Amino acid sequence: MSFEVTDRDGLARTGVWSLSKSVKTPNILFINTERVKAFSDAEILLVDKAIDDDRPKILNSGSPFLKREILGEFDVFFPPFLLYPHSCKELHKFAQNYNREITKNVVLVQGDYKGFGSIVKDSELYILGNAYSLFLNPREFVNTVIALRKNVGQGLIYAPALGMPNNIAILVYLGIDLFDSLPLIINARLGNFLSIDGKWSVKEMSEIPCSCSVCSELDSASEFNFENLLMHNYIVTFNELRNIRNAIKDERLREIVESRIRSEPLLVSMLRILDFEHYKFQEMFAPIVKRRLKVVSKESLYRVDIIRFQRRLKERYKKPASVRLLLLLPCSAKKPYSFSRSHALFRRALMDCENHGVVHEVIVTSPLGIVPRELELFYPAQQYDIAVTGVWDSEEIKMIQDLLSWLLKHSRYEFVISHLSAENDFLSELIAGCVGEEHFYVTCTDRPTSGTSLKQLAERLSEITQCYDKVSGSERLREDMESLALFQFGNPGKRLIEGSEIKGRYPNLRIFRDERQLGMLTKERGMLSLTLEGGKVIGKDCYWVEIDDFKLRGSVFAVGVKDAYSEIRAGDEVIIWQGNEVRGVGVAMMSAKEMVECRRGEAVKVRHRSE
Amino acid sequence: MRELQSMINSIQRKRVCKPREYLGAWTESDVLNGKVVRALVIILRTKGCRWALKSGCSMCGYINDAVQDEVKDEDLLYQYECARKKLNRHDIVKIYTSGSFLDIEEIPERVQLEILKDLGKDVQKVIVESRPEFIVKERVEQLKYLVNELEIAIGLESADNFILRNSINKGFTFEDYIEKAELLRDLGVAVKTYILIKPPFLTEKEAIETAVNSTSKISKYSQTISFNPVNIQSNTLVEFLWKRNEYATPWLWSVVEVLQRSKSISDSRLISDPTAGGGKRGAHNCGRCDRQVLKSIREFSLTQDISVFKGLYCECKERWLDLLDLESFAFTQLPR
Repeated sequence: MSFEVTDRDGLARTGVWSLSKSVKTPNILFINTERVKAFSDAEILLVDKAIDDDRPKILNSGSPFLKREILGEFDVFFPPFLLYPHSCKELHKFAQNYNREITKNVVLVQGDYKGFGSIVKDSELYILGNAYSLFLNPREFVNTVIALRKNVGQGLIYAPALGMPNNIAILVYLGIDLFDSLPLIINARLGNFLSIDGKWSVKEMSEIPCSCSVCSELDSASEFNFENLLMHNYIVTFNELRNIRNAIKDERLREIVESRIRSEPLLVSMLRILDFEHYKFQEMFAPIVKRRLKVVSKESLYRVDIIRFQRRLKERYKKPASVRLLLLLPCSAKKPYSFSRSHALFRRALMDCENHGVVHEVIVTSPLGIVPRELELFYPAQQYDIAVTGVWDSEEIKMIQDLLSWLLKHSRYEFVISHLSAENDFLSELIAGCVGEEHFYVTCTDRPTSGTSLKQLAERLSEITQCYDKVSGSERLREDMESLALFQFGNPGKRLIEGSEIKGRYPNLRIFRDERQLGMLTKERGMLSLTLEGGKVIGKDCYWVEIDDFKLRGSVFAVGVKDAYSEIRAGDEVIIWQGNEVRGVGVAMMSAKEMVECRRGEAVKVRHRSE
Repeated sequence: MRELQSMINSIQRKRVCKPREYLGAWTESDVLNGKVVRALVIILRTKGCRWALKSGCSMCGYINDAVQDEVKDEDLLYQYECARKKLNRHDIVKIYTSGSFLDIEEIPERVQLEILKDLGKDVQKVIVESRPEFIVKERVEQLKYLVNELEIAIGLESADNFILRNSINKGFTFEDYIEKAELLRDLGVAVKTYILIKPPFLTEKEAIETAVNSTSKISKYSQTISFNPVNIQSNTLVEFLWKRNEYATPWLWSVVEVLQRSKSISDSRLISDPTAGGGKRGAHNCGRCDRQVLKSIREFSLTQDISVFKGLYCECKERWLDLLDLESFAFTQLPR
């Protein structure tokens, strides 16, 4: 058997598992015994003895406490594993040693993450024994699954006896690839109708909220028996599985997870623990750009991609050198902000003053906190959507205060103008404390876009900016691009802008040096794309991918990658090197960790190749 | 296994100190020469099973009732005398110690002799228990001649060495048992063997299969086989697991299944008296059919007639059948 990842969304992945037939992952192993028949659409079967069926079969051969003779052919063979319960920590090592002797291809993990260090790496399949008991303690469960994934690289992880329509999403989001139909069978036996909202006892259901092929044949919930209820459970779970696979391919699993966890507080705990305690590991697999980010819950605020933006501000961001005055603006529903009606109005007020080059526009917003204008295209600043009610909750307030005070402390502004309304309630004190009352003005009286407010804004801007030496538009544009390049590449990004000229009209800008183009900015991507020249200018200090000795023809595949700059994430602009020679530039299709660990898959989509 | 031993040790607790109080004495039914007769059970309080003092079986909490300090010969004899007062037209007397009667460290030689001499020819049959290591030719011969008929019961629990070592922590092997069973046969002493239904870490199905396998292996050595479904005793490993939902006591359906299938492959007399049967710490079904099933089990023990099980049914049997079918797939214990 062999396994290859096809798409990723954070720790979740879809893949192809080559058994006697190729099957997709994530997937459900459907149990088939004398008493219980597998789903008709099942793609893989889990059995305890040989049966006549074309589909790939996995055999569970019990434990060494009962010796059995095994006859027949199977795609995957679980040997008689010795497994002690979760609480018997002292016995796990003995069992692990025992199991290691009987097979290395499939590993049964005892579920005690302190012992994972000595686990067999590079095995195809890892079974999380005791998954069901672990699940009852969200912190232990999350810590165990993450520790397991850290230790086993790309291998498949199977969590037995878990996997219902309302929890598969978060389990896949944690990195689990395989489930089985056991909970579906047990619930059918208990008379439970499963759905993505949880479970219903058929006795308590007045109407049947489903028209799957089984439910549509029934007149009332009293007609449910074990067989048809099991069939319904199969159908609804498999639908959700397909939904999740789609979501991974479209990079929107996170939104589905946030929606599904509402069914059980336990699941909400799990997501929070994952976000708060495992940021670093999750971030290693988080793409640098996605199409959309919906902020629909408290949990959304703590998404990896949001926290990363905030952290990157603190780690890499430097304000444009020439600005003297900070202008705080509210966000807009339409993104990028510049393209909204409100910001067009703010822009006009700004352009009305002679020396607008010394004004630094920074948008105050949730969930990102602050977005400097020059970063407004960078993910997720132009991709997020959030519920706006005019009321800020305390966590959002704290987050914005934290980021704004950081900005004020690390950048020298002589004046601050706030064109915000309600936000002043929680920001005024902070701002006055940093620049002094006399250097702080509030220009918005009623609404930011009212005639009065805009007039006040224009007046105040003129008044302050005329005190300074003129900063030209083109100089300011260069500085903005430098700010963006720093944010995207870190310090080496500066080299791209030194001595360069910026041509074009925002947001479609091109960077030139001595008539040669080094790179460009596009609205859709919101990031700088490089030419080979640009790649050479950046140098080998960052965003480099070192490939083996071969002639680069098309894409770079993971197998050809020798090493990669650890900060690279899917969607990043990267430079391909062989020794000291730039061979190409393009977009990373996976994170650096995956490029180095995987043996299959496309690592870099090459845009320009050297001859 | 070393780690299993130390886990069991760490769960054991300090013991009570009542060297002159016997643990129990009651009357029960038994069968002798095809007839149902009265049997007196006497349980003496000793310093404890030698194995439990050193290590211990994973399901046995009898050490809880042992005496912390010294138990003098006089104390033991005093206990016996008190219990003996209940002797009244009993044909069988069973002397248990929650350890090994034949262990001279537990029951000194003098006491062993005095008790059996006292019972002498008054009763038809005397049954005592012992681990294989204390069954020694000279000892047995001495005692055998003091009574009409002697039977020695051995707590083998399972004929599978892997289970004995890695689940029950019995401290001896199947081969040790065979050696002593053959010795007893040569000495003309009857053998009773205890088989444990559902040692820890086994699934319900494995419990049934291994019990039946054990039956087939020991029938030729043991005239009577007593099936003991695990009951949860204090300060045992099984209690530790049970409290954490990592061990479930067997279903009464499993006990019935073991008895039925064993009867078809064995000529030995098969008996079972589930301790705490029907209760949550013992073998149980759903609560509604327990009494009826227990009654059938008791009847079978006396009559050996499997037709008492015919027609026994309850809805909960479906859940039991599911458990047998599916438990192995879970890689963990599923709650009832």
